[in-house]
Amino acid sequence: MYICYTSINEIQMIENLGHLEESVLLLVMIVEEAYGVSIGEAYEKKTGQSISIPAIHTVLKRLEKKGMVRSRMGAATAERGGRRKRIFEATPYGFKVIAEIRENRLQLWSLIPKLDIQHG
Amino acid sequence: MDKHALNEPEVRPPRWADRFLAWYCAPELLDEIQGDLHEAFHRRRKKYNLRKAQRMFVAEVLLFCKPSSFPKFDYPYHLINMPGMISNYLKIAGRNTLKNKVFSLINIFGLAIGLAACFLILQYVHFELSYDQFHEQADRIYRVIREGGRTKGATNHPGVGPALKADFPEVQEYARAVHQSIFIGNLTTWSYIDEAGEVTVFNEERVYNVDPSFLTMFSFPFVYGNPEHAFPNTSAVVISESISKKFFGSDNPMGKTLLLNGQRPFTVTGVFQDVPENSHIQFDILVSYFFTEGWGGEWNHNWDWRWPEYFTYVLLNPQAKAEALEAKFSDFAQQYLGEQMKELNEEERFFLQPVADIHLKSPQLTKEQEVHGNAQTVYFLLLIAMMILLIAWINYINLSTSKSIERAQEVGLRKVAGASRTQLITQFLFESAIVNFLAMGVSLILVMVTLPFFNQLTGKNIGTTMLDLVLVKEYWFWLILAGVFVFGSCCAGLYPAFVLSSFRITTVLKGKFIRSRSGTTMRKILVGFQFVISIALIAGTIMVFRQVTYMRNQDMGYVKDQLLIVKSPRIVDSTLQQRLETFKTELSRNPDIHRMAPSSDIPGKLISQLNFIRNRGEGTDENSIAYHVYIDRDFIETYGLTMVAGRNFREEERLPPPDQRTDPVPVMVNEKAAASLGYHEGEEALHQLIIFGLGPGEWVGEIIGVVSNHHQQSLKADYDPLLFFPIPGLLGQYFTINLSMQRPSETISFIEQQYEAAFPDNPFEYFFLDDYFNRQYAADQQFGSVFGLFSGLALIVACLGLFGLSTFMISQRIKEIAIRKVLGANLTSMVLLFSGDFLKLILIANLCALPLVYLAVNQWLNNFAFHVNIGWLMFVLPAVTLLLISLTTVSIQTIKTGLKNPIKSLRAE
Repeated sequence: MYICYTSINEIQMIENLGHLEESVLLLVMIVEEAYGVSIGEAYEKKTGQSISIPAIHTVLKRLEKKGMVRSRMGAATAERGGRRKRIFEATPYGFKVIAEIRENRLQLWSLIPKLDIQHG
Repeated sequence: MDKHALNEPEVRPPRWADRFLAWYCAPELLDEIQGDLHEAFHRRRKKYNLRKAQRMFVAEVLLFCKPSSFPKFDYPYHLINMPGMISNYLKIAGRNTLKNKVFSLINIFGLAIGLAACFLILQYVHFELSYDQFHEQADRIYRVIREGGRTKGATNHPGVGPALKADFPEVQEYARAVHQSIFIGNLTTWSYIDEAGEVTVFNEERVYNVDPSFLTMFSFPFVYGNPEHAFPNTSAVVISESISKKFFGSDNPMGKTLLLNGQRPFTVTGVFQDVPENSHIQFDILVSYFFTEGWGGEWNHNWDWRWPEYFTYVLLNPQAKAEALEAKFSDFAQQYLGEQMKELNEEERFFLQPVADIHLKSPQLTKEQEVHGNAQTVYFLLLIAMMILLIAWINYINLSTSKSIERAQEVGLRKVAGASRTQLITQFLFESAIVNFLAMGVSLILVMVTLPFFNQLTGKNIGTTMLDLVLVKEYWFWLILAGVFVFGSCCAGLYPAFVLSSFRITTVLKGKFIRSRSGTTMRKILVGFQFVISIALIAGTIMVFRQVTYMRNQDMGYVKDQLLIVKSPRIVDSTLQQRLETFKTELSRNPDIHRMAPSSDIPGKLISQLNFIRNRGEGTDENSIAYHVYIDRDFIETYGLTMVAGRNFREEERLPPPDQRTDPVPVMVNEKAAASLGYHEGEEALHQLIIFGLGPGEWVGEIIGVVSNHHQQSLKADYDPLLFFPIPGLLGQYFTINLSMQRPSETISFIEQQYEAAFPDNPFEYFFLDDYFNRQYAADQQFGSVFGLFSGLALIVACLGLFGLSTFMISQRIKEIAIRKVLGANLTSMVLLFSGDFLKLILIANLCALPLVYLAVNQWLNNFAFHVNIGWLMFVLPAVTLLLISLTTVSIQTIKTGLKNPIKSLRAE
């Protein structure tokens, strides 16, 4: 029963994973200590686009709800006004989804006929 | 600030935005959101600049402000279930009430008695507080009272009213009222002759002479006529509805003529509704203040400043401040009385007293109109009411917590089935609400049933049915009712509810439940508190009753049991001397009549004539006060007074009219007056010359005799100093007749015959002196009865609680009793064992209560010049009573259980 339940969800979620979600999920995997600020900085560095903290929070929450990341409370720093961090990491399911997306893309890439001609 | 300047300047995100964030953000999200924003802020500050970082911080705080960041609102699923749960609570509460019939009855009736007592007392207190509130201008009417001559009196000089109005713009109006005794006598006879020539005649005492403004200042509603034009001339009389009924039946009395003392005609110009009981001034007939104009020759009603006999009221302007006006009174007194004060060597001072304060808050004043109430008594009764209610609530708490063991398993099961603590508490609160609700219903019925008896007891007519009660019409009564209900349900219910709901499932269901020590202690303290209240109330009752009995039985200094008072005739002519002689001789022929004496006053009332006396040759600073009594020479023997020294008046001695007092007037004094003149042995006082009647005229008197003291007033007051004169007008106000009580009704009808033969046209009215005298104790006796009643109620409620508690205590120890019995204990030792707890409690309660009672009773007794001593009875009787009650209760329960077959108790599980 459990398996059946997730398999249906997987398909939907993969379909629903938006561009920003995908990026943030990837960043969670890349960044060492992934939490709101660090992800935001990494995003800006990697993409050159700026992003607000609330946007990141929203995305992280959505990913957590979909079961692709999980979180725990980390340490507090003075810089944060004594507040703790919520540190995220990708779940195996998250990795699986990312891998599937990549595969899907590669499959699609390989189907482009002009690609070879143009680039020789 | 300096500190910050020295260190690195503190940089932080905008404070308001930070606060706003903390305000809307759910606490569990605050860590990540606030933390991230702060961290981002510091990084951006270094990366860009402070202002940009700040701007971004604010923008992001606003972006975060969305429902997902707010505290989570749990949908109250349990509320869907509410109606179901409530009906379940009600059902369980009902079942429990029915299951424990004895406990429920004790709870409900205990509470009901407490509440009923509370309502009755509230009603009484409300009545006492309502005095003189019915006047529309009550808040602006003040009585001007006077201090001078070493007394503080309710009355004032006739000149004060007009002068106040003339001098002070704050005074809108003044009104004076003076009792007829000042002008004519305590009694006046009023007669009405109808068209057929039939005469209706009555003696009236409650007659006042008033200014016309009296009727417009106060609000005494009129049945006929108009208060504004009630006194068109000095021959107008205004009467009460009941006087009108007495004389004219149901006819309209307007314009009819009443004769005063058979001589002076008065025309009825108005009829007012009977003066309500909650008025400080009580009267039946009002005549114009000015009808005696010219009686005193030169003397002027409006401008006299030497005759403080007039009740003086002023109506202030709405803006006027009483304190401000009062402050100007010393100059005022100096202006009008300066010389006189110097002459008499005494200071006169005036005060304003709000009319509504007269009944309860007035200081002890001489010449007060009516016996006034006592604020202390009223508040004391309120306290008792609260105590009774408290006892009833404590009963509820005790019984419910002690029942807890029985219900522990129920609680355990409920918890297993998923009941939360809140639900359990709600359930128990529901039960207490039901008990309170039922009790309230029962108490209202109780109040309705007992109200007539309560009226009798207090001597006040405060309404005979529930609907008559003023209380019911007051919104605050319903507020109090609701308050008591809520408070009772919650406070009495909360403690048991918390105790009951706190049991742990596992312990309870395993059956290992042991009564907690703290619960027992709490219960003991509560029961002890009930004992303290009970002891205090019993002891108080004992002392009040002892004092009242003492006052009634105390030797008054005269024979009071066989004295009949006949009001003397007022319609008389020149043949008076002869008629009186005939009457006296006729009476002396009857062997049942010992003696008869006319006099101006009789014991049982404050004497209205009061003046200074001093030895001749002394200065005015030696003045002391004495009451003037005019007596026949037979007075001394009729009353059984004794001559301490000197002789009685002679037959031919009469007090001459003021203008013929050339020789010293023969006077007698009582021991008290002699002592205040400085003569402590009667013989010393004989033939001393004294000055009396200061003021408009001073005369010299010679003391020819000293009479023993007697109680002129109740035992609250000390002996009054009395100055006796031989009666000038022969009659006085009263005939005192000393008769044997063998055939009283025959003797009285004989006296009536003789009276009617001697004084035709005069009504024959009589009373017994001891009844008249004891009237003064009515208030104390009522207080005693009310106090006794409520102490009894408190005791009953406390006993109910004790009974319930001991029943329960024993039922918890059934097995213990059985085992003890098996092991050979006898009943006596078990009774002793189980009563031990209560004995200790009673002992401690006694130790706590008695010192308090001692102080309170002592203070109360000090109100009486003559009072009983606090005897041992007060300390012993309450303790013994309580001891007996609790021992009986506990023993009966123990014996009942002890007599059972132990096997039965041991086998049951």
